[in-house]
Order: sequence, then C-alpha cells, then structure tokens
Amino acid sequence: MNQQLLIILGIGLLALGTYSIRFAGFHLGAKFTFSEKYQVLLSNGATVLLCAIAVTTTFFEGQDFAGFARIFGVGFALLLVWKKVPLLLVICLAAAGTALLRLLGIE
Amino acid sequence: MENRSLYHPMTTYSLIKKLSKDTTRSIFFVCLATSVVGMSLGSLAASYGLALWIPLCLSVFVLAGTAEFIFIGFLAVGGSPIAAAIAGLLVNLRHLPFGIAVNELIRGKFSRYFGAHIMNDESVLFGMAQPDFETKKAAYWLCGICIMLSWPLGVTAGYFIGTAIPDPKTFGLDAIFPAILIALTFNALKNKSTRKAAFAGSTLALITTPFLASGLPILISLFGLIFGRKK
Repeated sequence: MNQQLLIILGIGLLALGTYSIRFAGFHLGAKFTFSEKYQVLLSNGATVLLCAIAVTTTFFEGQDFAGFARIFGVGFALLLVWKKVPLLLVICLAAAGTALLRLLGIE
Repeated sequence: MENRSLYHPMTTYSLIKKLSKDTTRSIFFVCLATSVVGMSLGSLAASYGLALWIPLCLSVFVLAGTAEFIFIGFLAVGGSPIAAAIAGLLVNLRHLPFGIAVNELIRGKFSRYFGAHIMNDESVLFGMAQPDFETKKAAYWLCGICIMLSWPLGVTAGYFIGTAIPDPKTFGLDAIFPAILIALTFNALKNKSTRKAAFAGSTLALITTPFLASGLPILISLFGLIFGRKK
C-alpha cells in the first residue's frame, strides 16, 4: 500500500477513534443517572486527570525532564493562584517568569 | 413540543455574557497561546517535509494537540501511520471520563454531536471550574469553539511561516498550560477527599511517566481515586 493512503487511513482512524471516545463518554454520562456518590467520584476523577496532566506537563516534555525554568514558572503560578490573583494575570506572569529565567540562561 | 430552551444555541450565546470578564479574557488568552503552539506543530510538519493537508486534517478532525504531536512525530521518524494513530488514541482515552463528567453541558438534539467534538482539556477545565450550570455550559462552549478555530489557524500559519517562527518556549508559553490547569482545579482541591485522590494520582503519573508510553501515566492517575474514598 502506498504511503499517502496509509497516512489517510491513520488520520481517519485517529479522528474517528477520538470522536468515538468523546461521544461514548458523553453518551454513557447522559444515559445513566448516577447516584450522588458516583457523581462525586466522576467529578473527582476528572479533577484527578486534570491534576495529573498539570503535574506531568510541568516536569516532563514527553518522557524527558522539562527543565527548571518551566517548573519555577508553574510554581510561581501556584503561588499567585493561592494569593487569589486574577486568572489572566496568573497566565501572563507564569509565561513571563519562565521566559525571564530562560533569558537568564536557566533551562 | 419539547422544552429545549436550555440547550438552544442562541441561549448559549446569551449565557456567555454571564461569564466573568476575567474568565472570558482568560479563555481568549489561552486560545491565543494554543494557536502559537499550533504554529509550532505546523512548522514542525513543514520541517519534516510533510504536506500541509496532514497537519491540517489532524487539527480539524482530531482536535487534540498531544495526539497530533505524537502522530507527526511518528511520521517524522518513518513510523507507521497506523501505529501513530494507535499511540494517539491511547493519549485520547482520557476523553471517556471527561465525557461522562461534562455530559450535562453538551446535551441537545443536534448540538451534542458538535459539543462532543469540541471536548478537550481546556474546554473541560474551564467548564468544570465555573460556579453554576449556566456559566459552566457557557465556558465549555466558548472555550471549545475558540480552540476549534484557533488551533487549525495556528497550524496553517505555522506551516507557511515554517522555521522562521521562534520556539514558543522563548516566551515561556509552555508554562501556560500547566498553570491554567493548576489555577482552575485549585478550588476543587479544597475538598479533602478530592485533594487526597489528586495528590496520589499525580504522584503515580509522575513516577510512571519516564517508563510508560505517553497517555498511560495519565490514565494510571485514576487509581488515585482509591485514596480519596470516604471511609
């Protein structure tokens, strides 16, 4: 089979598969009414996933160490969130802090 | 006639006005950052000599950044596109629990088919972080649609600008994604059982990341829920 056709198949598989996963999640959630206990569990589950994504993307780039600049930038953001700084400012300062450290030669 | 007022698209539009200014601005800023990351994906694809339709179709039809980087990365080293798709699907499995968690925000006869497509880390995150149903729904849709537009635009622009664009890291943009995740899950973490589960799950993900295929450590974090159970 030629490479172009394989790539089309690959993209098709990834797109359809991803959409099916998304829709299946929605469908399962909409079809069944969960007791309050399970609703709490599901909402905790989403929070756990989001936190795990936050922590792994802070420390890793793929499977490699992400470098200290990003870790300090995100740590700074955490401090600002704790101090109840508005979200937009948190975002800008996290990026600016990380960029500044890199400018200073910390990677 | 069924009562569909809560799920009508026009209602969503009017709900957006109920979002706080900080939320709306943050969503736009995050989408701007997303388009810059999209530019890096586009320029990466161009530097590997891939045709434009490859990153463009990925960004429109898959609409999940990490999986797309993995797909392009596989092609770049001459890997099989089918293996690339399977690796991407592994990363995207997290949308299953996401879908269950946000299902109430995307109901509607036709809009659910579209609402499911715009489900991604950012839209789920902004959706869940709002105080009530109406603002949750507005934030989910606003963020989802803005990402759906800004991501492919960024990818296309990046492809044509090519290697001339600076690395997003120069501006510290790679810190934005974990920063908003932390900022928007912060309130949920005030609950003790949620905090225990999230801490255990994140630790598990962190330890396993160097050893497992990408996507798996995130799924393993769900075992953290065991630690968050009420006795």
